[in-house]
This record gives sequence, structure tokens and C-alpha cells, in this order.
Amino acid sequence: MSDDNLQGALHNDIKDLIRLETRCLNAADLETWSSLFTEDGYYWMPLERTQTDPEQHDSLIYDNRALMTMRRYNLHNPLSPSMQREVRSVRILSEPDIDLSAAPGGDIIVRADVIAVIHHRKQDTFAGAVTWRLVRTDAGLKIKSKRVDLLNADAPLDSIMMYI
Amino acid sequence: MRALQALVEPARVHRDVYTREDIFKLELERIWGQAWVYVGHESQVKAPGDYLTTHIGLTPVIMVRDMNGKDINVLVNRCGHRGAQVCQARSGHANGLFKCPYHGWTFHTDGSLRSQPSPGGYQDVGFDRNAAAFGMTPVARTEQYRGFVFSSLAATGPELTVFLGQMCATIDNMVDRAPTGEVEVTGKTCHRFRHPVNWKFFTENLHDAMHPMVAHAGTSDAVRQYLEQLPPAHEPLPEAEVIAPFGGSYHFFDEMGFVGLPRGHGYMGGKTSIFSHYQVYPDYLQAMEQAYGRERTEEILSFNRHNGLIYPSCTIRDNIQSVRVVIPVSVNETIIESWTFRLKGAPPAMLQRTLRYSRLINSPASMVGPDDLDCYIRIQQSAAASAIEWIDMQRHFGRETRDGERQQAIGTSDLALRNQYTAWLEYMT
Ligand SMILES: [Fe+2]
Repeated sequence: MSDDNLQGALHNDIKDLIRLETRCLNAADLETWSSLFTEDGYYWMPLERTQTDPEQHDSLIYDNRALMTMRRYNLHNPLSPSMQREVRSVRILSEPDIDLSAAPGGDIIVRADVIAVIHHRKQDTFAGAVTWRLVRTDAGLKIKSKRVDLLNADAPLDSIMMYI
Repeated sequence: MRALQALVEPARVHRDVYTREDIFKLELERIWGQAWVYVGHESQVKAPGDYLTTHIGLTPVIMVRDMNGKDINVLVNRCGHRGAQVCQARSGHANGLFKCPYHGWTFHTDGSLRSQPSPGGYQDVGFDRNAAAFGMTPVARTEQYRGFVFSSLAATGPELTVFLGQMCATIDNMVDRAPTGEVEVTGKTCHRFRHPVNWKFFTENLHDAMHPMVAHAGTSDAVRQYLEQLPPAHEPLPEAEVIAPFGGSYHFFDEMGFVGLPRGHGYMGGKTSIFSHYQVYPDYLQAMEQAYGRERTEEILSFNRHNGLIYPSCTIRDNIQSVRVVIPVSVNETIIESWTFRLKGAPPAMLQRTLRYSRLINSPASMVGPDDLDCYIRIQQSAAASAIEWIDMQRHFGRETRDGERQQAIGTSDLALRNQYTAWLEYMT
């Protein structure tokens, strides 16, 4: 294949992964969803847009794979009062911007805006900017990190019942 | 309508306290307008002109470091001219003055009026430019205890240390846990969790030791399921250290005990608490022993209170350096703000644990806070629908012991609820 074709194929793989990730969250399939991350992968929802380090200040969510798995077991667990109501959600992403050269070591940075609607006790709308860091592994593309900067991370928020 | 005295009985409380608008207004006046209310920490306003905005009850206030660099002033956040709110940002820096964006009046950082545009219009018209009302009026009283700033909207009443009483020890312990004897707020923002319920559900839940093993069973169960799939000789899981005690047994919480103090204050634990089994990091221990010596270090670290409530406005977990602030918005809306603190001179692992705790327990996106809130909403809805008339608080009623101003009970007693309503009635009537 020519370089252009190779790059086109990579772009398609990246978009497929992002689409699959969104579909898993929309379907509340946290098992498949967390398997899209590397073993040391994490999901981060900071409190401040300028935040560069989750270990220096509070975050709304900073989940490693262990916590992703615990959330999967907790989701719709009838022992959790809040989980006795179904959590339904849908996300719409903007066309992702793909940067193949942004990060050292060949990591791929993808950015998109998201609008997510979560229905639980009532219907809540969240919006923000998403940044994925993807890595090429023997098992194909994986998510090393996903960062979600909510528009209103510093505002009073209702319970957030699902990853955005 | 029931009179206030008829709403609180020794072991039950009437639903109206959570739902009636007129009672909420009276609470603002008689509780939030009288008590010392937590405003912020001095580390949030380090430089002259640094400010933080918040609320005391519904009153918008600014905590600002005076240009003299020493005082911390708490001012009503409104212009003395037409009443517009002056500062909109959560925090910022006033370069020597505050300026109202409507007609341009300016104010010194002590709140006094500094200037008005085209001042001739106020000459010889009887305008008193020194009247406090034309400034950004300071709230009646502001005092600090070891860097923690409290204000009272009432001109008279006990001094802060008298008001805090034995809760001073909770603040002392949080500060003493820093090898340098200083703590600071970690950032400019905090978790802000909107609770669509009356503020009292939050304070009442703090020492409700009959709920964790039920309401947080799903979360504990999730942790257990995760641990079970790990190989037998796995590394200790820092997330489990935080979450597991919330699934503690009735015996565990009974042993912890509860202490009720005057003015609605109280705390769980003392000797044992939800933090008893936290790992002690060797480098932290070393830093502490270097600073305080072995004996004093042991004394500081064995102080094991949980959820120290300074009624009605804040609750402190000195062991994990978290302060949660209660901000009532309406009869059925409250904002809970959670601030985290850094122990100066402690290794980074200590702050990491503080932040982990806050994410896992206090964040609106946690697996603990939303379950508590879900239960409050269920009661709020029942109360609003008159589906229940009296809310029970009889558990271990009459079995508390009294030692001076301290009342003590086993952990699962409803003494904490009864103690808060004793104070509520004293404030309200
Ligand atoms: Fe709870």
C-alpha cells in the first residue's frame, strides 16, 4: 500500500475505535468498553481545564482499569439505591481531529467535542471536549487515556451516573 | 400549621422541617444568621487582594486578604449603591480595590467606599460616604481558628473558639498531621455536588451508622467482586482501602461510637474510625517523627475522629484532610462543596490518598455520594407528598451517657440526630 493508503487505513481504524467506544457507553456495556483501554489505561474527568496532573488536584473521575471494573459491577447493582433506576445515555461526537505526530513515541492524539444526555432520575445534558491518547499494540489500537473536560466541571453538578 | 416547638419531639421529628418554606426562611435567620459559618481557609487568599466568593446561608460573601497583607475580611458581595453583586468569579485577585461593573463605584479591600465616578453629584445632598451601608459591608463578625475562617452574620454571640468547643481538636488534628504544622487547600476549585433536598438530610447522614452497610452495599459488593478475581497474592488495592470500611459491620460502627456536643456538633470515632486501618506510609511517619518526636506523632496519628460536624455549616475529616461545606439554596436544594487540603511537608502519597478519597466518596461522579443522595431524595419526596408524618430517631433512645457537655453513645444510636434537633430547637425558638 502507498503511504497515503496506509494513513487512510489508520485513520479508519482510529475512527472505528472511537465509534466503538461511544457505542459501548451508549449501550452501558462497560465490560467491552474497559477492554478497549490498555492495562495501564485511565479515564480522567478533571475539575479544571488547565489541570495537567490528576495527582495534584481534585478530579470528578480518575479511574484506572480496576475502578472501571468496580463501576461495571456496581452499575445496575440493586444493592446500590441509586442503581435501582436504569441509567440510559446517549452521546453525539463531533468529527474527530486526528493528530498522528502530536505525542512522542508514536502515540496518537484524537480530539472531539461531545454532547451526552444521561437519563436517570431526570434527564441531564453534559457537554465537553474529549481527548484520547491511543497506542498501537500487538492487539491493535488501544486507548491509553481518555480525558473529558466538562463545560461546567466547576459548577454544582447532579450525580453523574455514567462515564461521558 | 404546627408551631415550631411541636415539630421536634425527643425521638422523632415532623416532616415539615424538610418541606416548609417558612421554616427554611426562619432557619436562614435563626440558624444560618446566628451560627459561626465556615467561609474558607487562609491559604486560599495568600496575597493581598486575593479573594474567594461563597455564601453564608443565602448571603453572597467575599473572603479577601486585606491590602495590609494580614487581615482577612469577609464582605457582603454587593455594591452599596444599587446592590449589584460585585464579583462573579469563584476566586480572583482584586488589585487593591473592588469595582462594581454597573456604575463604577469602587471599594477598598476592607469594604469601605473608595470612589464614585463624577462625585459632585453626591456633594451637599446629605450623602454620608462613610456609612457602612454604602460600602461592601463587612459581615458582623469574622474570626480564624488555625487558618480556618468562620463568619457570623450576628453581631453578638459566643466567640468562635467557644462556639467550636471540643471541635477545635478536630481542626487541631488536621493541622497537626502536617509535618510543618501547616495545611493548604489544593486548588482553586472543588467538588460541588448539587443535592435537590433540604440541607439537614446531609448533616443527619454524617453520623447515621445504620446506613453504610445497606446503602453502600452495592459499592462494597463491587469492590469485593473485583478483589475476588485478583490472584491470591495481589498488592494491596488503594481503592479498597478507601471504600471497604463503608461496608463495615454494625459491630464495627457500634465500637466507633458517637460523641454529641453542644450546638449540634459531634463526631464519630475517637479511638477507632473508618480510617483505623489506613496504611501508615514509612516516609510520612519519618517526616512526622522528625518534626514532633515519636510520642507526639503517635498521639497525633491515633486521633481517629470521623466526620467532625461543626453544625450547621461544615464537616471535617481531619484524617483524610477533607472539608465539606453545606450551602443551603432553598428548602429543597443544597450544594455540598468538598475541599481537599495538602499537608505541607508530607510525601506526595498523602495528597494522592486525600484526592483518591475525595473522588471515590465525595465527587458527584463517585460510587458513594450518589447513593446517599438517592436516599435523601426518597425521604424528601415522601415528606413533600405527606406520605410520612413523623421521621423516627428512637434507636438506642435514652441509653446515651453524659459527661459534662459531652453525650456519648454506641455508633448506631440515633443520638446524633437527636443532638442536632436539640440544637435546632434552641436556635429556632
Ligand atoms: Fe453514606
